[in-house]
Amino acid sequence: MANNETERVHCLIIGSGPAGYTAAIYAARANIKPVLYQGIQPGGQLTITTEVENYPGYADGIQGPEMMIDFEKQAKRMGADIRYGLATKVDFSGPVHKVWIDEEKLIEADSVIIATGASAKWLNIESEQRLNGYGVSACAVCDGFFFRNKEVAIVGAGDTACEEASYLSKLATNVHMIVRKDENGMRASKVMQDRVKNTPNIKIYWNSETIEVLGETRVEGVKIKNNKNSEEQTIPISAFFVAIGHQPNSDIFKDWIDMDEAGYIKTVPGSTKTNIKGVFAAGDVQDKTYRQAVTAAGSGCMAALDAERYLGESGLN
Amino acid sequence: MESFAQLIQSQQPVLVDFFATWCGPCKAMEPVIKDVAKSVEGKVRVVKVDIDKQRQIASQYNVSAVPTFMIFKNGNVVWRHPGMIDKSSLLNMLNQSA
Repeated sequence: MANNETERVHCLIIGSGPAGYTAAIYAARANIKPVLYQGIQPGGQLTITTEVENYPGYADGIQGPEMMIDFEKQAKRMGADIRYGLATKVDFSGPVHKVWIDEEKLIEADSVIIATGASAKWLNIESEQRLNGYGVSACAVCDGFFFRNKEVAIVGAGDTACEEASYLSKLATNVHMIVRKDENGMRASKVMQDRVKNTPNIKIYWNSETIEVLGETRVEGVKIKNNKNSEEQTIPISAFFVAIGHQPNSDIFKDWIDMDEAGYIKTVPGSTKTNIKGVFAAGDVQDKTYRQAVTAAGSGCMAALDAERYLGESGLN
Repeated sequence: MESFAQLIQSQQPVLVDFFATWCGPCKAMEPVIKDVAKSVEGKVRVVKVDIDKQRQIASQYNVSAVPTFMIFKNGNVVWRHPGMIDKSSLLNMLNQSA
């Protein structure tokens, strides 16, 4: 691409979930003039959820996408420069941190806050990839609508899987929930487990693995195998939803930033500092334990304060 | 007015954004698509199909995810992508199809 525009910024924030926007609110108030790039999914993972019941301050609950609009509005009101665009490459070798946006624009930043979050994991079987968009989906809230009054399956055992199963149960005739472990091994919180177990049209298949999603041009069934007795069965379905967890969006940083084997960015305990001076990480990209909107927001605040202190100490503000 | 069937017959690539008004990711893609449309102006036509209003078109092309992006050329689907996509990947696909 011909466009070789370069821009110098004081504080660059990459990502637009609760961590990114909270960092933007604090950084704007600290007058370090944050520029935030929203990435491929403005608003982050919460834009593909339904009701958020556990974010303090919203006494009556709120829809995830609406909450993220509120976050964005507040960041803008504080004066943060919010832009859309995806960080595609970085170079953290020098004191000034280089970040390319959409492979065409170069940002040179004194400080960087990485808040790129996490995205849905896939099973990585051939039939799942082939039928993606033809009944295979990782977003029940986006695509459940297409399968009203049909039979659907969901694989996963965490809170997200339970939330999506319960959302789908209102649309689909039956929801077949495929869980790898037994009843005692389910990862989801008690309240979500109970919700799923008490929904009459959700049928749970314990100790079950997905062998193959069936169908030529669209999903027609799923073959599963009981991992205790090796029995196989085929369930006729029109849609197959995947909710088996998340992986951090940290790929573009891996040559520079220390991570664990799963790709979560390592931060200095009690701070958001990474191994690179002036580069901070907040939210799900560095948190494999809590992964909540409110903890992401909390670490976003920490990152802005850490960045402000860094700029002050380095005489860059 | 030109029908959808006529419109996709073009020799120039046509990018179609199958979206729904109630879909969060579709909304998030709006500025990206506008920007892409601007940078390929004159070379590629960009159209949006509201799957609730144009159910027939959506079901004809087997759309079962929103957003779904397709590139048409001479009436044929030459590329298809379910879900969100970034600007440079979309531009790359359009350049390849041109």
